[in-house]
Amino acid sequence: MKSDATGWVDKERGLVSREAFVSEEVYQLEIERIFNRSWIYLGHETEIPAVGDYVVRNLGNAPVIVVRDTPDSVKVLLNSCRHRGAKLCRADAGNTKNFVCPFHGWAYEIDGALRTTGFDHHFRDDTDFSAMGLIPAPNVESFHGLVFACWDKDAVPLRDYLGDIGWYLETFFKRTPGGMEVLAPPHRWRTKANWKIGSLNFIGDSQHSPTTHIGPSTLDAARTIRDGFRKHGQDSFHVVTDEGHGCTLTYLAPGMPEKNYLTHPEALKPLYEESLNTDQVSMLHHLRVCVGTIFPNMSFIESQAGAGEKALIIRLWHPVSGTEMEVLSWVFAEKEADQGYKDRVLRNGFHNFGAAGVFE
Amino acid sequence: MAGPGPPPSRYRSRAILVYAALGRADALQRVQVIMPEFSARPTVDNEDYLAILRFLYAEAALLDRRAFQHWFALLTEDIRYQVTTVVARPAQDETSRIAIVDEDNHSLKMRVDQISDPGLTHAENPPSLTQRIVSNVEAYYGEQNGIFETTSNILLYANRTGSSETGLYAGQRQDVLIRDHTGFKIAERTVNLAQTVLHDSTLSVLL
Ligand code: FES
Repeated sequence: MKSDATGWVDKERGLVSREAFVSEEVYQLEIERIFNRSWIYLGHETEIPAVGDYVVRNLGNAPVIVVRDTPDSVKVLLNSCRHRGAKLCRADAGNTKNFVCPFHGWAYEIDGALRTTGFDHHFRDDTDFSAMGLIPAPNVESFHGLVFACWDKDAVPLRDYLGDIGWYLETFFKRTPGGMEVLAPPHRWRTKANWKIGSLNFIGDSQHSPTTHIGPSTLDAARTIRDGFRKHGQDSFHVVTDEGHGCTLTYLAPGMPEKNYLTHPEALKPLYEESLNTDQVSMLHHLRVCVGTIFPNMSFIESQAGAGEKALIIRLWHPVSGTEMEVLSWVFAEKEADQGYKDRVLRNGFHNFGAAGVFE
Repeated sequence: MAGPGPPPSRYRSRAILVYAALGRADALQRVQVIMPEFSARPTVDNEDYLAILRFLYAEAALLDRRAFQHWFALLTEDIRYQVTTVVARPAQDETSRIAIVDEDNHSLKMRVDQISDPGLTHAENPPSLTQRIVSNVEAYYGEQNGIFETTSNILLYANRTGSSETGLYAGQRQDVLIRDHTGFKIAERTVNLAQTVLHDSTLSVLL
């Protein structure tokens, strides 16, 4: 490293140099040591429900195709042709029977295997075509529909990587037998800020809320946000796990039993009790807002803002460079919920936290 | 002043986002734009065209001058205001759009109140300097007297003062206008942006 980073982090006093939030060298090291070794969130299984469905995402700084290759499996393939490296798939999403390179037409199966170069007979006799498939991420796992991948072939299993935060993710993403589903493709926007700003904001910066989000809290006739800051704020807990994940839980103030479960539909409540254990049910029952981050760059929030429905949202802070990120944001609801409820959750979720959200 | 009331529902289904049924196979294609067949409708005469043009220019000027409450008064009570971006899909697939803004009168009022008061907005404090160009206006008679369907192109330059960021938005707007004795009102606005990823920290201005 060219710069002398000694002293950028003072663990004793809890200080970090602002250099860490702009340096391109730090960014390169983060890609190498964090993003190429950690489990990275790529998307949700309900975005690619049918065989051949795919979305194009990023694993670290490498573009990848996330494709459902069989009804029960998802592959993550480097979006780069094995011939001369052309970008294979140039759409954001689609459904296909195979991937055909736009440069010279090499064709791949949806599991990444090379089907034909079109000129196979011109290759040397000892050519091993079976080794010329698209480069797969060695580790792909799904946790209640949340698809993660990791470039490191020696990675610990996803469940171990998530550790104790899994208990919370389960409460949000597996609280009914059908699980959650994505309600629309993600909003995407670029912002000139380091990805860590987003991750940190969701893992442990509840203090910004009354100031940064003064607009929605002042204009919210239902006063739920102000009440959240003032009354319920006394019942907040901060959770940090050994693996570096964390979340903040804000409970409804005691004495507000009539608001339990907030806006969750009646019909879903028995399903929560069926799918979760009693501690998880109790948490959901009393929860006003939960906001957290899975290391390094996946955040989630379930909150009620204003008079609308509580919405569950995932944010991904994709690092584009040391000073820029692309934000992706998805809204979720229970599969079993009725369409009217899902539509309201989607509208309300994006009204508050989308690419044009009033909380921004 | 009593307005003409909401337009009949058959107008509301035109030129707006239609939510496709959320089946397993088409979760990603769920929101699609149905383009109205504008060509099948009679174009307005010169006098009406000029009146519509003047209205759209005046309305654009209100937004650039930050007279948001005056602008809001030009909307009907059942306004549907939407801004969409594109999910890039292969040519043979159906184009899909996502609503990044989807407001009714109530939620739009909240947005307008917020940007009217710099103290209530992080994104618009200090306020963005905006300059918009509205052009390529086409106008058609709706199925009922006093209802017009228009398309126009918009190019909006938004300079976030206090930072080096600028937002540039290009899109086609599809409006439904209603005329009563007070003039025109906007009953529907859909802004279809020619973008998949917004290159702006947040879309905090009105289009
Ligand atoms: S680079 Fe893909 S076929 Fe040549």
